Amino acid sequence: MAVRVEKSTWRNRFNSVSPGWNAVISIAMIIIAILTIAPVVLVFIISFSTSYSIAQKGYSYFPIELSIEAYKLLFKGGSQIVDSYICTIFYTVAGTVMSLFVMSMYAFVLSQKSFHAKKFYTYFIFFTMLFSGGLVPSYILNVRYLRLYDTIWIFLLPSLISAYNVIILRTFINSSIPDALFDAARIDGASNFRIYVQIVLPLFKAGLATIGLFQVVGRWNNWFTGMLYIENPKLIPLQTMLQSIQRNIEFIKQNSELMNSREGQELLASMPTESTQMAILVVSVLPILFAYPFFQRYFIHGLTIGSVKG
Amino acid sequence: MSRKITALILSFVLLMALFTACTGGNGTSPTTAATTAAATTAAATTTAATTAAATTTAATTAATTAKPATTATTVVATTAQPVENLDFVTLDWYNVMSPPEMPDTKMVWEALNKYFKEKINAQVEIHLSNSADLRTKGSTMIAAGQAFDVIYSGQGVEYPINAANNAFVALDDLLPEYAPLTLAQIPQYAWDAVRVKGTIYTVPVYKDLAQRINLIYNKTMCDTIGISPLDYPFESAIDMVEFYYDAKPLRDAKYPELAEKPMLKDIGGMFNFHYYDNILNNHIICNIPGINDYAGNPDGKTVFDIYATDEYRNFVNLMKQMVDDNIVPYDAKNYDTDRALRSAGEFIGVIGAGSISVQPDIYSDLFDSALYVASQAYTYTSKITGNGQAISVTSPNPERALMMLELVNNDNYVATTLRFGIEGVHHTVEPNGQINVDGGPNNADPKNRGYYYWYGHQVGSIFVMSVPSFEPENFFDLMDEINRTAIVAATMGFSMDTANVTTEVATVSSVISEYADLNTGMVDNPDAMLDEMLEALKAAGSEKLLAEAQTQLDAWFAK
Repeated sequence: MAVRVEKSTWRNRFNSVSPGWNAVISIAMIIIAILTIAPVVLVFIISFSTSYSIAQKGYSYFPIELSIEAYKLLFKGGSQIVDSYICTIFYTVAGTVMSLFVMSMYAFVLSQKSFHAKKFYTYFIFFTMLFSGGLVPSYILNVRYLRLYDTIWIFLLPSLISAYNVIILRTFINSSIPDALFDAARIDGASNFRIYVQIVLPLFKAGLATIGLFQVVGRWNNWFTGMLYIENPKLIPLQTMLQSIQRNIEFIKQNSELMNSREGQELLASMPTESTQMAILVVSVLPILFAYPFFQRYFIHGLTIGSVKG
Repeated sequence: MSRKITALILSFVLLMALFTACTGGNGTSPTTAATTAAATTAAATTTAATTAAATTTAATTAATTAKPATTATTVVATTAQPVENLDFVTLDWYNVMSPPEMPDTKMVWEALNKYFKEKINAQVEIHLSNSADLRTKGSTMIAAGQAFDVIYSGQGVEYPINAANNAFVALDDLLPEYAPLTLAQIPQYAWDAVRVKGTIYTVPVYKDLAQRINLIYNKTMCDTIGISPLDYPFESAIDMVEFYYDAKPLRDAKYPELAEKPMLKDIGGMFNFHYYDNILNNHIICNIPGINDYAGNPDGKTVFDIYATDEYRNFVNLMKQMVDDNIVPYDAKNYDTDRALRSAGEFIGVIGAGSISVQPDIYSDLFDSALYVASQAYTYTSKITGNGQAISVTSPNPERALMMLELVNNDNYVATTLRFGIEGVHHTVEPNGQINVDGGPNNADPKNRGYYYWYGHQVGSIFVMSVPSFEPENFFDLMDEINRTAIVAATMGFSMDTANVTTEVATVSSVISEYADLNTGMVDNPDAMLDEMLEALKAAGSEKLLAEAQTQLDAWFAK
């Protein structure tokens, strides 16, 4: 007796959504996606609008006139933003590479069963995740004892190891690289460093890419370190510059006493215009926008790293 | 083999880490090169010392007159000791300038440091930031006990709190010896205003110390439509409301394309409508004796809640009405942030404070502006503590820092250079002694100047600089008149100590910022919202704040 097998279309596969609901969910998702992208597009458009258009029409998707004067102002020769751009890209990339290198080594060591001091080092790094000295002690440490004030190293050294990421990487090694591989390598006479370089790193790509993406975005967006520790205009990060302008304008506007005085008016007069601020925003967001698709394919795999054991 | 390589790399990294400690520190210790330089210049400064001695007598006679210098005199500040006895030091000065970095900042400070070296054998390492940044940075630096010399103690750097915590050097004993001219120049009430627990901790900036509001009105528009604000009495901003309402139909008739637009960007806020003496956060206030704007409320020695007064209720209703009638825009804070509409002459005027005089083309070449000042000027504690320079207790050279501030506040060359740059490069001096700020080649393009800060209230007394050509020659006389005739609040010199009530301060502040829209007329039902706000304030503990303020004030008056 032949069993009648229905052709498996997407309609009657198990766990598939009925067409009606599928349409509803799709439309909802499309609307949410548009709502998410719309402000970003608006920022782009504002950065290309003239001050006159903003004054007359406010923020609008269809400004009265377009111009690139804001960008011309930003990138004119010897201006601050080119220095900031180069500096920020440098320390983001260098910092991420250094950090990934050191963190993966730490994670590799922690994952080896034969490491005698494993418990101590795990506990050591876990402790720093729970307790932190706070702003003033770290300021004292960085400025007075480590002399990192106003140098490029303030972006690279203090944030070299993130405890959370080390533990994620260690779990990744434990779960996705079988112990037998390590034992086999050792029997063949490979040293630890060689195992790290030739076995762990190649298999590690997904983990490194995910953590790398978090690191890149985190470092790129960090404005506080720059504000607190940097004075040299060549070393000021992009986000610090933007935040500084914003906070200053807010500060002046909120302080009614200052606002109404002559000094306040003078201070406000020297602030950049709206379209310039939006242009700085666009310039600072672009590299991240380009970096995301690059890391996209590792993202899903990386998200589920720690979830499945064995 | 690879193990050896790894060991080598790791030890190299460790070595590099050690080397980072060698990068330039931020201390004030003189280098060996500097000490040899000081020794060689000691011989050169003997001649300077003799000239210094000759001008000492002239300076002391100037110092004995209590009235401040009304014209820019070229009094050269003298030092307490002859220069050759002083070691060469570097002073760290954290200040606020906007914008912090001008193209020629380095050049100007090199010239200034040469002058400082001559006069007091010191050089200044200047660190400039924005106000908001210095607020965070400054509090971290003070909390971390970092060694620096001078810091701007004004807006946001929390002068009363830091002074009470002994972050700054007490200046009472040092002033007569190291800064006698500054002591004489600044009026007594200003010195009293910056006392915390009876001691002076900062050098206030001598500028317009009193608040006097003014309207800079669009003369061209007013003449065309046939109305003038000068016909209306002007004691506070509320008097001008009638003028706006009268002017609106006239403007709309003459300029129909402006009919949809508001008359001006903002009308000055409660602060300028009914004058008060701010005790805490613009919330707990006192009346100013002589003005007593808050009818039915007690005199200048009793505190009350501004939001509970009838004047405030009338104010929020008036604001709402003005927004509805399109006298002011709906979201005033974010309206015309580029000042494009103001430059286009669409407003009837701009309300502000502190202007002594205005050029007709102050906003644009398209129309003329003129100034109408209010009849009253008044002053209170935070107006004066809002700007000042304090010396940190962590400074290795507090006396030298004070000598430097004496120069900044009394030396014409220093004051003019700090604001207008180097003579011949940025500015030029005209025959009558005034400054042409765009005269030098580096400042030729007004949109792209090499160095220009007007009016430099952050750096020191403005009475010592040379007057720029766009202000009248008797600029200092006009300003001095305001300072001398200002009505002084009864609580001048009192700063509230919020140590016991920090939670209430925080909760009340958040309630106030939640209801901030009341001030700009952006609400539908102001009365109902105001009632809500008063309830919320009471729940947040505002009565406790009032009681605490009153106790402190009574104790302060009793002394």
